[in-house]
Amino acid sequence: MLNLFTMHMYRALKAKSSLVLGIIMVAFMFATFGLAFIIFDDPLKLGIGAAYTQMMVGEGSGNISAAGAHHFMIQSNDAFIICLTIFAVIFANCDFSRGFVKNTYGMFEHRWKQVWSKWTAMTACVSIAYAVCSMLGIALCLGLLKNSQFGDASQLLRSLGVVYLCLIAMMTMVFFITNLFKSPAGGMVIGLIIATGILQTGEMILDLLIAKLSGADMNETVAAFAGIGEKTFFRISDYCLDNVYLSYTASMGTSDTIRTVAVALVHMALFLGLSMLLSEKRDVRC
Amino acid sequence: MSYILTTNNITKKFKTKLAVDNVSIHVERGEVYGLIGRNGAGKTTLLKMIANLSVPTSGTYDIVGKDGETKAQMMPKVGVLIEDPGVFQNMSAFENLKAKALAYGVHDDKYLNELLEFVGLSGVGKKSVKNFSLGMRQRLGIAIAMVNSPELLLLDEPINGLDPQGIAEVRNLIHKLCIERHISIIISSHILEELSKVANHYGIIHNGKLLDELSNDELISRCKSHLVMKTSDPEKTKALLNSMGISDYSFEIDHFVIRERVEEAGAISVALAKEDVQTLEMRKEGQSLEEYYFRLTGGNGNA
Repeated sequence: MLNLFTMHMYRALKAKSSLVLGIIMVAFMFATFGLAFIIFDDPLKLGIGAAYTQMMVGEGSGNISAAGAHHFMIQSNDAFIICLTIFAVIFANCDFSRGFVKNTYGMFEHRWKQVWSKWTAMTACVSIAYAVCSMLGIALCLGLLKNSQFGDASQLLRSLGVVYLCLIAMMTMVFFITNLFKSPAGGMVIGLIIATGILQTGEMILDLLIAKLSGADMNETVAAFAGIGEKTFFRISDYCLDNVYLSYTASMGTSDTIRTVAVALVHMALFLGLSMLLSEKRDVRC
Repeated sequence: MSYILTTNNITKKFKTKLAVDNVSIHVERGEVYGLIGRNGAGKTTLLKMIANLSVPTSGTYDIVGKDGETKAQMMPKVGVLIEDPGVFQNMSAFENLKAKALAYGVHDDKYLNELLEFVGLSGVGKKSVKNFSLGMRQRLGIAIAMVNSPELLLLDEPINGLDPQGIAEVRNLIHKLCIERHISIIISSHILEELSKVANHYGIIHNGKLLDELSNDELISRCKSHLVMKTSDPEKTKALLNSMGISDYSFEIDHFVIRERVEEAGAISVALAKEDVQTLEMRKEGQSLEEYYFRLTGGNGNA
């Protein structure tokens, strides 16, 4: 399996699409930093900056910390997850669409090993991209923004870890969808729907419907959605990967952080397991 | 007899269509096994199941190594070229070989260059595969299939779409693989004339069923020759043939087809002359693989 992993890394490095996506990702990091510079760096706009950081990063001081910079540059930056989705779809599909898979798929009696090798290679590529972009984003913000400070290191580490798990889970989900539909279109559409937050609207409607059916006070329900009241009812969105990823902040409490990690791990295990099962049961498309 | 591959009632059903129906083939070690059948007969589906690209609906197959290796041990020793060569278009021939080599733990670039030379692609350099001709791609496909030094090679329609020179090149390559590298090869094709030039064992598949499995020697004996004879007096000829004890013959329009004692053509001719019957035409004919195939499948035209 290590040999297959090496092969996948080789083709990822040789593929032009990886290079193009890498360049786009870095370019968007600089563009996002430009936005951060406009919002956070002008003392005259500190009020706006403070309100924005409160809203987006969960820091009320107007100063941006390393954890806040990471949140702003990676999580709030849709480009990162869009690039990740495109990469996952292309990588999962490329050897099938080119037919190269025919050369290697028969080497093991059990084909789940093929899925595992490809998934580990994809994870390695995403990890490298995530590490580079995180470091670049944090370095740019801390190095060039006047009102920035490193802040709490444990909060940064927690944020790095939780967001990483969510991204890998998201990648695994896109990987499964691409394998399921046997085409890049399915994975691309679902991935982009998640990345742009469209799915969150649907989840919210479902939550409201459940609240209404369970007889919850609708005023309290809406207040809870706005974050100014206690959650008094079961919300499906609390267990949906896209929602936990987009709503996670470093300043979240321990129980919410644990829930986010658990949701990410469950999604990762579920979709990886399903991908492996699918490979054992289905013919190889090529 | 040492078989490298056997399938045991292997079957593949796609929704309502039975693509492969209880097929049991036996491939001897070191031979070129020709899988014959029309387009859609089930050849590719059968090869895909053997290559582990398709899951059989029922039945099994077994691959046994020369040193008694089991199927699981042998699977990395199977080379595959099914339909089009599976290549990354933007990569060079060497990079494509390298990709497969890494998957199989082969880290010898010299060996990869030798393979390119073996298939006549040593001079292509860094040219992208997308700029290759069909013949070059086909040869690269064979080289890729060879990367893992296979004991069993599955070639599905390797000469499809090639020009005469390309066909000859691939044919020579198959001979080389079999003779120089002692690789067992299963080659499927619907171009029977070409297949008969390389194969020494055949499996005839029609509508998903294996109709016959025979060696070259068996084919020769089954495709027995016959005499075609035209005489001046068919009635006298019939009486003479009967008096000579020849019964397996027929009269078709204006000539006789004699299927027994073919080697006695001279004696028949002399006996006819003695009865004042002129022999207007006499020739020996034999069935080709193609004719045998059509006789078996009840079809005509291209296989």
